[in-house]
Amino acid sequence: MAVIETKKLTKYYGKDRGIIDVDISVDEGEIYGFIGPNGAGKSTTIRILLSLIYASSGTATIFGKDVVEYGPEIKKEIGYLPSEVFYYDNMRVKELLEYSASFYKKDCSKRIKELSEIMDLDLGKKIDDLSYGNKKKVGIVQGLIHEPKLIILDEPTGGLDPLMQQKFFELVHEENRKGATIFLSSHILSEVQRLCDRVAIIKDGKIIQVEKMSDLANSNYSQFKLTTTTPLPTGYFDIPGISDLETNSTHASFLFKGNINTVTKKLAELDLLSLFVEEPDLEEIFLHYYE
Amino acid sequence: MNVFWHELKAHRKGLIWWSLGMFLMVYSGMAKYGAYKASSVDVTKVFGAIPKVVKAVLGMRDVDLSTAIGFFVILFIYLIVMAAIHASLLGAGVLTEEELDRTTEFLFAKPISRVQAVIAKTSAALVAVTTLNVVTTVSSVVFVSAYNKDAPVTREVLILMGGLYLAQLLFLSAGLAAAAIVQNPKRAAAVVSAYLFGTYFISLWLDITEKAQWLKYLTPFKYFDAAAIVKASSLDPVYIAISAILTTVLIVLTFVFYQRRDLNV
Repeated sequence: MAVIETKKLTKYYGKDRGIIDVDISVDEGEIYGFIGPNGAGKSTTIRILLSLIYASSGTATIFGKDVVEYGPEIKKEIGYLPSEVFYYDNMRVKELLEYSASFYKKDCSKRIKELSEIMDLDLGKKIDDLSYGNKKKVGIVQGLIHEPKLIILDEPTGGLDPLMQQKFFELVHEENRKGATIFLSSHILSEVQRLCDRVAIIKDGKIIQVEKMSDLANSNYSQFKLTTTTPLPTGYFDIPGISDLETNSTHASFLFKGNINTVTKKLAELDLLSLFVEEPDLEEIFLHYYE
Repeated sequence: MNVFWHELKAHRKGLIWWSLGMFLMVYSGMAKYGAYKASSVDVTKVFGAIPKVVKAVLGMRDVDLSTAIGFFVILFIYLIVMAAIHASLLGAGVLTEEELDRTTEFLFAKPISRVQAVIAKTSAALVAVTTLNVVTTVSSVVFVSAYNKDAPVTREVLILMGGLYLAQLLFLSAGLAAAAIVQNPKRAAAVVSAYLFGTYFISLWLDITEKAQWLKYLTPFKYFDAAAIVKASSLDPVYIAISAILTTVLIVLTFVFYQRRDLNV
């Protein structure tokens, strides 16, 4: 059963586009990446899932239940870390976490202690006095205290130093190993690359691709760079599967996805001076999608 | 219950200041009356010379200022305006504060429905409004009777405080409804303030003019007109009914709209 499933999920803010016909399906136990540039609709989608805002059309279900109708029930099992964290003034970290825990009908005190130790969090401090990174840590802890089955992370690592990011990712992996499904939105590729099993790419409010991370990162795409002794005939690489083509008389570079033999056959006919075939980094692949 | 306690705690400080303000208002108002009385100036004559318009603006219409209850009737105008400001801003505040402080994502990612949140927040506001009324009532009963040399008027004071409470409930629900209906949380307080001062100025205008007296049904300050209440020694059932219906409608609107609208994150 899909943990998160949206069908033709659409949101307009008045006349402004939020998201259009978003279909995603997140399976139980997977780490699902949701990637796209700022303003693409990542947070909009998440806010609909949490019924903070309502969809203009389409449906969204979590654990098979409608997110609006069964909102409070569903949220018992959701842990959420917003991209920007804001808390009540004048509260101490401990008070906030206890307030947070009071919404769940279970004893979270042990978990609070455990998590704040991992994240190196001072429970006695006032929230107002915390740095942005430390507030984010509070957010991480409060999102995980009730051992949720679904963890939704919206741009989670902003403000965290590399060491904390590392700890955070370990924590997320640990929760995943224990069975939690993770939905992670980000515009940082390395983050997604590191964590996710599958990834949905969103651009201008529409999902443009859903791929397995391994497919994206490994086999399918190859980066070709070559130099020839004689100038290349124009339109020589005009074959399906090629993108980001740049040619300059005797130089050519491009991304290729598909059966590699179609390219090697074309290359065999050329008098090559040099040839590099590399695995492209994700940045290049995504740039290609974003165009 | 956790949200209820959280709200009570969050608004505790404000409530203490408001209570202190109401207490001082009653105390200083009645102390002024004591001073007039002691100075052997003919208060009635002095105030009799004041033009009608000024009297209306100051709220001194058809009252016998030589009596403690007459003086309290004027004081009541200020008490009801203050209590209305408190109630309406509190109503707008409890429902918009999460959005203004950007804690919406914190609260509503928790297993709590919008309805539950409105109930908890409204209940906390109700406690605050009731507390302010109790403080005002006790202060009023004590200080009015302390300066009163005529027949006992505690009954009248209590009736006035009953009216004050109904006005508080009405403005509280107006604040809540404004917060629920207005999409921009920053504007809710402005909307309910406009309602408050708009209806207040209508009631002042009605004191000056003979025209458009039907407008009295639109302004809560006329429902709880102290001079009329003291004269009749009771609240007008028509006004009780209107304010009860209005309050109920506003509360229903609050629940309906707050459940439907997008929250500002």
